[in-house]
Amino acid sequence: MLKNILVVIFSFSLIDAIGQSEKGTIKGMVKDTSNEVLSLASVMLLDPVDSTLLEYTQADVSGFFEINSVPYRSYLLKINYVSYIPFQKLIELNKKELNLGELIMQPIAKQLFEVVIKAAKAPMSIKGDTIEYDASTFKVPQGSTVEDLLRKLPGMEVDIQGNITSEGKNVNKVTVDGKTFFGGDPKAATKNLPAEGIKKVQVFSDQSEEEKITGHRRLNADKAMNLELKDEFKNGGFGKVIVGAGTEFTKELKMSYNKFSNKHQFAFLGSGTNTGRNGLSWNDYQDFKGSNSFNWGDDGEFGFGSGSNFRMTTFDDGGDDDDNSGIGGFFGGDNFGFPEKVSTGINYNYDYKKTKLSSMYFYDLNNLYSDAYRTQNFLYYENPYDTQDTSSRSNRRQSHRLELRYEQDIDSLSGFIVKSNHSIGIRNTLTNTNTHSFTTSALAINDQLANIDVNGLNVNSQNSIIFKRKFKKQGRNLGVSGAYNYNNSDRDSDQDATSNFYSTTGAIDSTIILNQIFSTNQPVNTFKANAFWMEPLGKRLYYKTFYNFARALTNYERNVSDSTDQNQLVANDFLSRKFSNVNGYNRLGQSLNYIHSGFNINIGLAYQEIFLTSEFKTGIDSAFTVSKNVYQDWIPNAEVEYEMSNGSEFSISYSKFVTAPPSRDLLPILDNSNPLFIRIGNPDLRPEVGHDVGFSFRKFNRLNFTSLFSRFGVTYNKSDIINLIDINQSRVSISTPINVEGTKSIYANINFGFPIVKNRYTLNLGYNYNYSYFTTLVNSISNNPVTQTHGFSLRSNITPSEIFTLFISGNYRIQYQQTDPDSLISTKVYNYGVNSEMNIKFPKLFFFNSSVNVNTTRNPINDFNITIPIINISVSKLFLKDNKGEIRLSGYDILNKTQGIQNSISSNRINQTQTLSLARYLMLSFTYNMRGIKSSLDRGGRRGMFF
Amino acid sequence: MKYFILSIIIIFNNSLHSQTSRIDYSRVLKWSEIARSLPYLSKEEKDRISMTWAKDRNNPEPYILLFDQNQAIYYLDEDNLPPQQWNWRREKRIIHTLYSEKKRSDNIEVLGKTFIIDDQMIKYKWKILNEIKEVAGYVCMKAETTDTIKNQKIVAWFSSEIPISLGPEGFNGLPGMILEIDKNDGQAVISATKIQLDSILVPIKIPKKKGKKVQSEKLDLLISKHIRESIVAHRNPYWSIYF
Repeated sequence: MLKNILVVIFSFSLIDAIGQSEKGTIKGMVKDTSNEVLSLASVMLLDPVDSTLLEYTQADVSGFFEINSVPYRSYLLKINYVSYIPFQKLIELNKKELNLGELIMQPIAKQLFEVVIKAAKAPMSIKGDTIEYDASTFKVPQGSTVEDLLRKLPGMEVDIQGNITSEGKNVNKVTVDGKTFFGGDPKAATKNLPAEGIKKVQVFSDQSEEEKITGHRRLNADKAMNLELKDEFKNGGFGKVIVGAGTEFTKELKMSYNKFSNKHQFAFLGSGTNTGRNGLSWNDYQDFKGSNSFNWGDDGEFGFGSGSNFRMTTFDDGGDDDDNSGIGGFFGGDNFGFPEKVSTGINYNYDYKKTKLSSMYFYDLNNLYSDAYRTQNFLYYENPYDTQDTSSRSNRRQSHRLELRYEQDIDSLSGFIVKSNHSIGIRNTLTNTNTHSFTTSALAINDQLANIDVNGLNVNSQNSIIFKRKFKKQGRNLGVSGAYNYNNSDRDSDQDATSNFYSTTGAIDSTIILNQIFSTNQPVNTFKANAFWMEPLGKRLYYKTFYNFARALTNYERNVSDSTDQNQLVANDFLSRKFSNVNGYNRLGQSLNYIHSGFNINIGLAYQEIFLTSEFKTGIDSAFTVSKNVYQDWIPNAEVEYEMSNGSEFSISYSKFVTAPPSRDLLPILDNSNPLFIRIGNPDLRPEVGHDVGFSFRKFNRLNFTSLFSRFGVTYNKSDIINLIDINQSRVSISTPINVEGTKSIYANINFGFPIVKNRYTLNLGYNYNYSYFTTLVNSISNNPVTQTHGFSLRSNITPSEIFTLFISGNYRIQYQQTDPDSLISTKVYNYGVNSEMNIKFPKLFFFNSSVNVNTTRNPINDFNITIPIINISVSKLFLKDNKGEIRLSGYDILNKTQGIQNSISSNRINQTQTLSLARYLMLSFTYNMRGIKSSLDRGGRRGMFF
Repeated sequence: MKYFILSIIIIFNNSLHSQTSRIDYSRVLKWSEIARSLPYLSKEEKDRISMTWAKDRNNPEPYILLFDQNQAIYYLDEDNLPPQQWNWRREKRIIHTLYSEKKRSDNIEVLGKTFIIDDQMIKYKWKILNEIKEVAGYVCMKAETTDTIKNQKIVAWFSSEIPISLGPEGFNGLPGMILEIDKNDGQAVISATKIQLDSILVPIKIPKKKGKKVQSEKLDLLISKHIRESIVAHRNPYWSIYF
């Protein structure tokens, strides 16, 4: 009965039964060396040429098997039984019945089976009598030699002299990757090679040539061993050098060298350029930081959603405008003016099993010389005016950064991350500005000539530890983190300013001359602690609670001295300041997350208390005053995301944000360091509070490559901070920060892409819209200016073949500025242009690349209308073996038209700047890349950091 | 040892009629390895991908294979996905095999569309290799085949201790249950984590199938066309189809 069931279930023929050839039966009996039957052993017939499975069955309980009606031919008979060396035999079926009689299977040495298969879970491969297994599954301490490894292997013994025996037999020959190692002394290889470089150990009988021919074997033959090396131990490093020089004294140099293995990643990067085109890119960033490239978001500030909710509260903890982020050097944009940039750094990552260590040092130097001409239109109801200024500025910034990150998994459930980032930023800026203000009817109001020399030193240190633990219960999670940050900014500035005020007749009415030295020092110590707990409520629902705590202690000191005509310094008590702040927040929140099959819903509520305490003096000798502000808020949060089966994604979110006012704005003290713009703080200032609603939809049709993306968002400010401005006839403005309600902004964009000919010709249409509704309070007149922007874009990618690509895009943007929503008069600024890029690959690895950009800026309010065509052309040729070398001749801005124009519109001001910049230059550059340079036109060139 | 195995098999065979067996698999995709095999990437780009991503801990996806004496069903165990803060949509794949009649019904999502294929079980041409290893407590033997549509090298580890000729993702035709599938040397590994034979009393429930009926050959054509076009467009085809 049992036998029948087995046959029904188990017999399976892969040979079509229609064959004409004669058929027969193969039978036999499976036994082991101790003459015991091997019941239910699995029996297969393979094609002897390529081991293709043709037929199989299972032996019965008495070890007997029979395979019926199989065609006459030769077969490789294979029998498999647990803990036995698979049996195989070449057989020939050429009669009705082939009885193979007793087939004897060899057991695998028990020790080997238990240790290799069961304990180390290593695959064991059997080639005749060779048993081979993966040595990497046997743990040996770091720095161990192969000898130490062999001592661990089952059946292997190594004596004090280093002689090796395997299953009692001498190993008299050791080869590495099949090759004899150092004259064949087995000990030379095993004593010298590191164990971590070994992938496989193979042990087999060492047959003499005679034995191989005759097939006879000595019973006590010696054994031979082969060590197979891991791939990465065969690898070296790679690197790249780019050197270029050109007209207008332009030059660029970039060098990088990387070495990486399974555990270590080492990178060096050096780059210098004075062209203003940032020589570094995402690719360089990734090459430099390796496996540590995207360890973002592990700042331990636990919040509602997936990552931390950065907008919940923004908190002034002394960060400075000097860049400390650690990656800024890679992503700085192209600069106007005449920049010089040098970046260099080293990075080392160690990543093995449970430990990840990353360390980096980076140095950045940025020199920027710029001469700019700027016009500004202040669109006030009362006393509107225009300014024109010319400035020349030399800005030298240097930074040293040291970053360390250590991640350790303690076990499969818990682990911690320690981060310690330090930076020093040095800044020297010299600015010389000449400003003229006019009424809208072009009457002179005032002018100012100012020289400012600023020297700053910023020291920053950020240290944090995050501990995370999972629990046996799936979905239960705990996280605790703590951070200590120190920031000290020291700044000395020397400023001279002469301001003239004119009467309506055009004569000088009054003159103010300032010659002051400012010295400020602001150390900030910040402590943070955070915790979260996540608990599953069923398979798809999670409850999360979190707590955030922060305290920032600031000591601000500003000493101002007036420089007298006799070059003596007199302390200026009126402008000198001293205050100390203790700011902080406590936040307790909870949320419910529903997660299932592309559905993500997150609903949460937090209670937050921000407190800002200040102790300040209005002058060096005045008494301390204490101000204390506490702001309490409930913060709701909701997000819904849904991903549909047809490639559509949909999301809707609501969040509330609270931004504490900067401490300086809270102090009721006057700041007239610029006599044309005087500021007074406001102790009654409340935080900015706003609501954000966002909506997005994206669909990508994977069949025909059409795409649709759209986003829409509204921000409503329950409380916004604006400046209350009082502007007099002489256009001296006094501003005080105050809270207003009801400012709002809207953004919307939609993008539609579709192929006209798949993979050859693609069109992309886009539209975006921005709306901002502000409040201004100038001379007690409340106003609600509105700015709106409409942008249209059309992009087409023409990629007809592997040797030609053309990308053309057109864009049109119009910005409106209305003094209030009902106003019929609106000021408009237009920008439009056409940009194109063409790449051609010629035979013999010659390449041609050109870009043509024609952009127009029109600003009727200033009668400004300019069209700037920029043409860049380059020709290059790949050479050397594997295309490792490239020589390139580039011509930038062939027509010499660069004018460095930037413009912007904000609540009641229109800005337009033209910066004298590097224009036309030719450059010859040479690249050497050890890994070869891509010789195809990369049509997916916008792939970016992913793949 | 031998008798122990024998008794397992006997118990197993006797009770097949009434009970369901369950094998849990975990499926791990190594995206950095998949990307490295894309022909349009330069050596530099491939190295960059390895350096940046190769060390990433990949999250396994749990799958379940339920089978009784004449049918089997293989599907994603959505309720046991590793807990994450965010959950993206997984492509749907339900494979129902009526193996007593050598028939299969594959409910699969390809390029954003759901299809149903009712066809014969796929016949694979297996090569049997001389290598053994343990998977989930069972000693398995190695076999190899090729997926000609996706051009993948498939390595299967099967155990004749479970004498049912099935496996994950519809793979079948070996003298024993496939407990591990390895595609293209580790680019995707589907490996058994837990094996419960005959211990489930609940009969197999066949879920309702939704989707467009399509012939197996047509779907294969669609997939190979997509792979070809994606390669020309320098796009990773496997971001949008089941690897």
